[in-house]
Amino acid sequence: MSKLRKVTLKRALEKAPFVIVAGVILFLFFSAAFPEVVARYPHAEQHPEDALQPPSAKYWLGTDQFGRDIYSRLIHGTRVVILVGLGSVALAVLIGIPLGLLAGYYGGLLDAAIMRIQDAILSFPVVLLALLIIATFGASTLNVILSIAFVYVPRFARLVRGSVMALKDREYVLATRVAGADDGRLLFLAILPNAMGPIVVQATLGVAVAILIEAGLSYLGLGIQPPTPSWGNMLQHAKNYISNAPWYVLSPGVMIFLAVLMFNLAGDWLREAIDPRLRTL
Amino acid sequence: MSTLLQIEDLKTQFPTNKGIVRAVDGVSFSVEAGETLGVVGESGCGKSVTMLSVMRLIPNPLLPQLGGRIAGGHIWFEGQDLLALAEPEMRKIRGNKIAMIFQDPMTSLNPTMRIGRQLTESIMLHRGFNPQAAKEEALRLLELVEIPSAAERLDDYPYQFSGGMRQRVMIAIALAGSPQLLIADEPTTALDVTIQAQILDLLAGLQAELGMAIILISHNLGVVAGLSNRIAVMYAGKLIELAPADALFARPAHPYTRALLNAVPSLGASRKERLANIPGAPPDLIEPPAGCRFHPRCDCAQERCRLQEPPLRVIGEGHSVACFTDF
Repeated sequence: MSKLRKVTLKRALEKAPFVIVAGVILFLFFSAAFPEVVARYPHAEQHPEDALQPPSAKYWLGTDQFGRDIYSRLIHGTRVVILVGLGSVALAVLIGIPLGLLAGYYGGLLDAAIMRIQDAILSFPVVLLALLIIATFGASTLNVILSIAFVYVPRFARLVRGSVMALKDREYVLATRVAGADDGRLLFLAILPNAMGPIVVQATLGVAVAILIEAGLSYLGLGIQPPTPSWGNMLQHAKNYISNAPWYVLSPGVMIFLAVLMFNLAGDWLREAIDPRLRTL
Repeated sequence: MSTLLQIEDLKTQFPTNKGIVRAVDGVSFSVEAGETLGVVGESGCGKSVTMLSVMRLIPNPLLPQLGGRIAGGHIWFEGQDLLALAEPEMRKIRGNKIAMIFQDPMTSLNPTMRIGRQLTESIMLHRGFNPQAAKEEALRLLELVEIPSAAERLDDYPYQFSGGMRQRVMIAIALAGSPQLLIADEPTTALDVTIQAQILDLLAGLQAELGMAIILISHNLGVVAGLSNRIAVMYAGKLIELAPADALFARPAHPYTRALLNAVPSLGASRKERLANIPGAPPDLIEPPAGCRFHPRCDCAQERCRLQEPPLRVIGEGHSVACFTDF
């Protein structure tokens, strides 16, 4: 391990809460990958005789209206949450970065053409636009990912464009050009790596918001469709039993809150860890 | 010696709302292979713009809003007119045959790339080395610019280097393509005095070893004095005096050059003595004064200096000046 990595790691570990955040996120990833290991029952297994049971040793977080174990359903729900959160943001980053690079680097008409389209997308409220896409193309996990990605592309394009414009007149960019670099080298060796800090932060925060949007869409019945469990659609069913089974509505709500909070915190720490200029202290 | 770079009647202009700024207005000079040419003049006299023109970085392709164009002239380098080359051809010259280092080493290195990689990128690009050979060459270059324990420092980031060390790294990167011409644009201005001397010694040593020509730009006559074979003095976009270094210091012919030399503080001077300065300010380059551009600030200006522009005339061995008066 290089000297530098050790320093970075040490700095990260000094922050005790980091362990909690990393732990929760790792747990979510693990649950998404191997839900059958973490969960105690299959997500659709019904125990009609135990409907709407409060939390107990048998059902850690109680049961829903069909007697399904809420804890197990939450665990099985993480797969779709992680898939939508990471998938939509990854897609948005992959499309948004090249658009932002082109717009910021070449400027002029190309910039105007790209950015006016992004502005048009940005002028719609996020959830409304996602709803519109789902309503048009139908509700499915893939469409949820695509619609959230679509809504997010302009945010990344705009962020990257701004960074490129700010970095273009840095001396090391001029120095790289003086050293004989062509446009591609200049973009991918001199400019993009220096713009990565804010992109990573925005992406991590984006995952948090994507989870929220997915939950919102599923809550409205337009996101992930039963029988696939997602925290959003669990919340939707749970609201009918809020007075006689409050633990039912609480569990997915707390999970959404936790996941969003953890990804937000992770975004902040990643920013510090990734920026070499912040490593100096 | 053969002529490496020949600049002929170079005119570089920047359009602005108020009019055209003639930053470089008809400058001609040449650089011989292996020599050091010092270029001095105050801020805004066109030193850097001349060099950016040689590099064909005007207009800056990344910042077209800054505008600027090379309005006329020729820049001959090894028999080719650089101004006539297509951009891909020019890229093969930049960093390869002509390299450049800048004033501020703190901002001229890519902060997110390890030093070794910044070197090997240039080496592989210009010399087609494989990664292993490029790494060895990078190490050799770092040792050449006298960076202590170079092997360990290849994996360091720029922020881990001091200002003087960074300028050494910049020089190593500039040497990556074995250039025939190194343009050093105020290479020591951002460094403190002891480090300045080290960097200048390093440049002199490298030149003796590698035989490249150097154009050393500075507003500091002391920096230029020790290193240059010949010195060009620029004022308001014009070349006003060109002479061998010793002749320039012994017999400065242009009133501006003499005023500049006069303004250099000397260690022996008493404290009560005021520093000599040149009254007035450099002229507006949108509407420069008619005749000689220095006449409003010149204490020996005559009537014809106001009307007629003095041509560059030869007054001695390799010594020419743009002034009517003989001194």
